[in-house]
Amino acid sequence: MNAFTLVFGALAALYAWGWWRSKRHGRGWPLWRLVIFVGGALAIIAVMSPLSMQWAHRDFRGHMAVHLVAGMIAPLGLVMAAPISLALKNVPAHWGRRWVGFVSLAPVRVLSHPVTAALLNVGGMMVLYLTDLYATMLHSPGFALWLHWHFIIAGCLFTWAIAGPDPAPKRPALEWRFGVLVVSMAAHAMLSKWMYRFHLPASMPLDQVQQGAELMFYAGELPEALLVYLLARQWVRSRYRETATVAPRTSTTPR
Amino acid sequence: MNDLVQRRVGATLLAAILLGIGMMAALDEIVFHQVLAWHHFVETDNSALALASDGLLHTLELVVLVIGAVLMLRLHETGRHAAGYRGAGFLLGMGGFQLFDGIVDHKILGLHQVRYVDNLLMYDLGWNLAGLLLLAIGYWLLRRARRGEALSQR
Repeated sequence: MNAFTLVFGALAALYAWGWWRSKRHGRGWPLWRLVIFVGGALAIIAVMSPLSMQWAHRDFRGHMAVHLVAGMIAPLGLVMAAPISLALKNVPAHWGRRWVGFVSLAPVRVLSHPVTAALLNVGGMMVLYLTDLYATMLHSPGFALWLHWHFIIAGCLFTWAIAGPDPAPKRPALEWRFGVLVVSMAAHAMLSKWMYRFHLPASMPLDQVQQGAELMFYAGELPEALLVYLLARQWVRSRYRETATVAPRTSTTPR
Repeated sequence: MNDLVQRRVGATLLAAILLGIGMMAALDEIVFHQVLAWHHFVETDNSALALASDGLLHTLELVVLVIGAVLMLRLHETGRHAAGYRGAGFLLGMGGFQLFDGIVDHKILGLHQVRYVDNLLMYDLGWNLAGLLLLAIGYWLLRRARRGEALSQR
């Protein structure tokens, strides 16, 4: 049992408890949200288990598969399950105001801005793969551990900054978030092509790096496409609401 | 055509063209890159910039496909799609992308060729003629829809 099992097991149990408590009080919470949250937590527990960690340490393809699950797919489940909204339903109302106060703090807003989140996410990967940092990581267990947490937290932060459903007033406009998402997708695709062509990180065998880069390129764009879909749905819906509220006003006769 | 119908036709054509572009790009990726492996993931010279432009193009294709799907879904949910224009737009998008890929990507940018063989001309001709054929069918469907004779309009 490692820290990942402990933390994400506890989070999943907490979420399930909140879901059950909401249901008992007659304020239902969708079952699919419980499913994706627990699914995301279990996925992280699975890829951070010692067996999969050993594979990731030995083999670059393993590292890339672990990164894909822990940094991109699991965060989608964890964030899209709206854990903060569920928590706020289950605590006294003044906690809601505290949360709004917290996310309105300048440092939090800077940290959770899409640009910062994208830099931490894709920028962190560029530093890891394009420099010698990857080799350093292989020889330093402490740094490797920290890096796994970075992947998970940066992935959640990015997903939350781009399309998170939890309440966050003063969030950047949809157009901003969409732009950052497309740029970071392109950066992700470029990075995997550079890794493939220029054999980076150089400390791993070439065929492993090439297959890992292909995995990063093709499998990595599925969660990204899902994010584009979620964001575009939000955008089209808000556009439609605007036209729906504007249309009757233009059709009424002036008084 | 009144203004409302015109808007519906425009929105439907836009969504269908985006879907067509994205679909053709996906077909190219799956059939020629992965199944046949005629041209590869990276065929560019060693310049990081050419690779970057390739990655950017790929991302835009994916975004276009998803946005097309979202727009089309919304048009159907709200019952505002224009019947008869979906297939036309889809084929115009597919053919347009095929021709763009054949001329701009393969020839002007030189990202990769269709296949690495001696008589490349035949492959280029086939590639671009296929694009032209799709465009022609799309245009024919578009004219039929304008006359109100498309199958879904009867």
